[in-house]
Amino acid sequence: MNLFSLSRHYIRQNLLNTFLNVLLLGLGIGVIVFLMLVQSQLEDKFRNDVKGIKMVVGAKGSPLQIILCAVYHIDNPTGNIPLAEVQKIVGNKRFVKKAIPLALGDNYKNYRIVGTDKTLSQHYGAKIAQGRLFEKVMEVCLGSKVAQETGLKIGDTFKSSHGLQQDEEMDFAHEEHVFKVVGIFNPSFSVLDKLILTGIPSFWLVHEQHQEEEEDSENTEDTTHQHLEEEKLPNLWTMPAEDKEITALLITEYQNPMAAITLPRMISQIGALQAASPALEVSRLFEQIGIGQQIAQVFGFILIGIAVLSTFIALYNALKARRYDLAVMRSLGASRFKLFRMMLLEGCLLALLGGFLGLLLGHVAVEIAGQQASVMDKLYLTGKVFLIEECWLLALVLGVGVLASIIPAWQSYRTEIAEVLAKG
Amino acid sequence: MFRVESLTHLYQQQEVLNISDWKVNQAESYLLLGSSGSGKTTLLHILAGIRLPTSGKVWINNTLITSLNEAQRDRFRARNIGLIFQKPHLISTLNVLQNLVLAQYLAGLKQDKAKCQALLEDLGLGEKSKAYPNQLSQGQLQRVSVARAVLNEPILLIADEPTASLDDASAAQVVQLLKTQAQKCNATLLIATHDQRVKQHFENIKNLTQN
Repeated sequence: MNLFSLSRHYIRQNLLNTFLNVLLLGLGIGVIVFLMLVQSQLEDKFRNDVKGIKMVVGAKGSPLQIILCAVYHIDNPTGNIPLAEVQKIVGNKRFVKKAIPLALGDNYKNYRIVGTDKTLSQHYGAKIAQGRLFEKVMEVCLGSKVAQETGLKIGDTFKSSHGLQQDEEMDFAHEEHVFKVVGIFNPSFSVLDKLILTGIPSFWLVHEQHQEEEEDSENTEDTTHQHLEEEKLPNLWTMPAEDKEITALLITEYQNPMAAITLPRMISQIGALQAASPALEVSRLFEQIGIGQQIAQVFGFILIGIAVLSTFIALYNALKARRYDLAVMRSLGASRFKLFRMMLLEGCLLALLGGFLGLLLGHVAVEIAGQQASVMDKLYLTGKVFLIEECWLLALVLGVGVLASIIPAWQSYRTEIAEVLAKG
Repeated sequence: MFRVESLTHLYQQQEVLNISDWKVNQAESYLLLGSSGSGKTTLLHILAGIRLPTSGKVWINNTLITSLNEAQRDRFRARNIGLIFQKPHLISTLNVLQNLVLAQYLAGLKQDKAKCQALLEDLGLGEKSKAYPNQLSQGQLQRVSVARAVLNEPILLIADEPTASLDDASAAQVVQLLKTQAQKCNATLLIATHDQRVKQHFENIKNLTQN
C-alpha cells in the first residue's frame, strides 16, 4: 500500500468517468503529436531533398510548381525548355559551375522515369548497390524503393507509360521501346529512392517515336533509332541542340556568389524560361501550411483545455464523496500534506494516462496517414519515429494534471476531520 | 494512563465542555455518558488529538498532547490511539484486508498482511478479507473497523457510539470485541454512548452532565 496504489484504486472506482477524461486529454494530445510529427517529417523531407540545389530553371509558370515538380517530383512540369537555351546557361562559365539536367514525362507503375545524367545520383550521394550506372540509351537505374516495390531486377526490361501517373483508361504505353534495368541504387533516404533514372536521350527516343506515330510517319522502324538505341550517351552540353528539349535544370553550384543575383535576371530575359529558388519557395510553402496547422493546433489545445476542466470537475465531485475517506485517513494518522499529495498524484496519473494515449493515437494516426494517402506516401510519413519535443509534451501533460487537481488537493489539505467526523 | 486537567472547550462562544480533573489508569474501561450536546464527541476528539481544547491540558502516557503541533499529533494518534466511529467508514475502493494494511501504511508501520489476516480470523472475518465494504453487513463492517482500530496495538481505544446503528446481536458482538481486544493490547478503553445495551457491560462510568 502506498499513495500510488491508493490513487490507482480511486481511479479504478470511477472507470467510466476516468475513461472519458483520459480520452479527452488523449485526443487533444494526439492532435498535437500528429501535427508535430507531420510537420517535422515534412520539413526534414523537404529540406533534405532541396539541400544543395541553388536554383531550378524550368518553363514559365508557377515557381512553386517548378520546385514541386523538378525537386520533389510531386507536381507536373510547367512545360519543356529548349536545350539550346539551357546549353547557353550552362555554357556560361562565369555563372554556373555545376548543373543537373532533367527530362520528365513518363512513369512505370507510378514511379517517375527521370531523364538526367550521372550528376543527379551523385548529388544525392546515392551509390550503386547492384549492377552499374546507365551508360547507353534506354538503360535505367532504379531507386532503392522502386526496386523493392516493383520487384524489377538487373537485366529486366519494361515499357513506360506516358504521363507522370499511371492512368488505367488513358494509358498508352510506349510500345516500341523497352527500358532495360542495368543498376539499382542504395537507399539515399531522399526523393531519389522513388525515381527511375535514365539518360535524357532515352526520352527523346521514346517521344520522337511517339510524335512520328502521330504524324503517321511511314518509316517507323527507321535505322537511325535503331542506331541511337545502341549509342552511348552524348555530352548534353556540347551536342548539337537542334530542336531538342528538356524539362528543367537544377543548378547546384554557382561559379561566384554574384551569380545568385545576376543569373535569375538573365534567365527571365529568355522568354520561355523561369528561374525558381527552392529555399524561397519551400519557405513560402511552409508559411501556407503553417496557417492550417495553427488552426489544428488551437483545436488540439482546446481539447486539452476541456480535458483539464473535465478532470478538475471529476476530482472535485469525487472529493465530496470522499470527505469521510479523507477524514478517516487523517484519523488513522495521515498528515494533511499526504492527502494533498494523494489528490495531486491522482490528477497527474490521469493526465499521464491521457498523455500516453495521446502519443499512441498521434503516432498511429501518422503511420496510417503515411500508408493511406499516395501523396503522403511519396513523403515517407511514418509514426515509428519519436521527437524530443514529445518529452516536453509529457511535461505539459503533468502540468495539466497538477492544474486539474491543485484545487481538490488544496481542499483535501484543508479537510477538518473533527467537523466531518462529528457529522456522523 | 491519561489525565485531563482543567479542560474547557468553547464552540461558537458557548461552553460545550468543562472538566476540572479526570484521570484514568492503564487498561481501565470507562463508559462516557451524557445527553447529546454534552460534549462527549468533543472530549473524544480532544483525547484523540483531532481537536485542540480552548484551554486545559491532556496527558496520554506522559505525553502532553495539547502541546504537540498538528503533524506531531497525527503521528502520535497513528501509533497510540485506535478510533471507532458510529459508522464504520471503511474506504470503499479497498477490500477488507487492504483497509487494514492502509492503517499500517498511514501509521508508517511495517505492512504486514499476515498480521492483518490473523486479526481478521480472530474476529471471525477471515473469509471476508477479499470482500469489499459494500458486500458486508453493518455488523461485519463495524467489526472490521474495530480490527482497524486495534491493529497497531494502541494504548488508548476510543469508540464514539459504536453500537448506535447496529442490531442487538451485532451490538453485543461489537462490545464484546472491544473489551477483549482492548484487554489483549492492554489498552485503556473509552466508549461514549447513550445505548442502554452497552451500559450493562461496564462498571466505570463518567457522566459528563454531572461534572
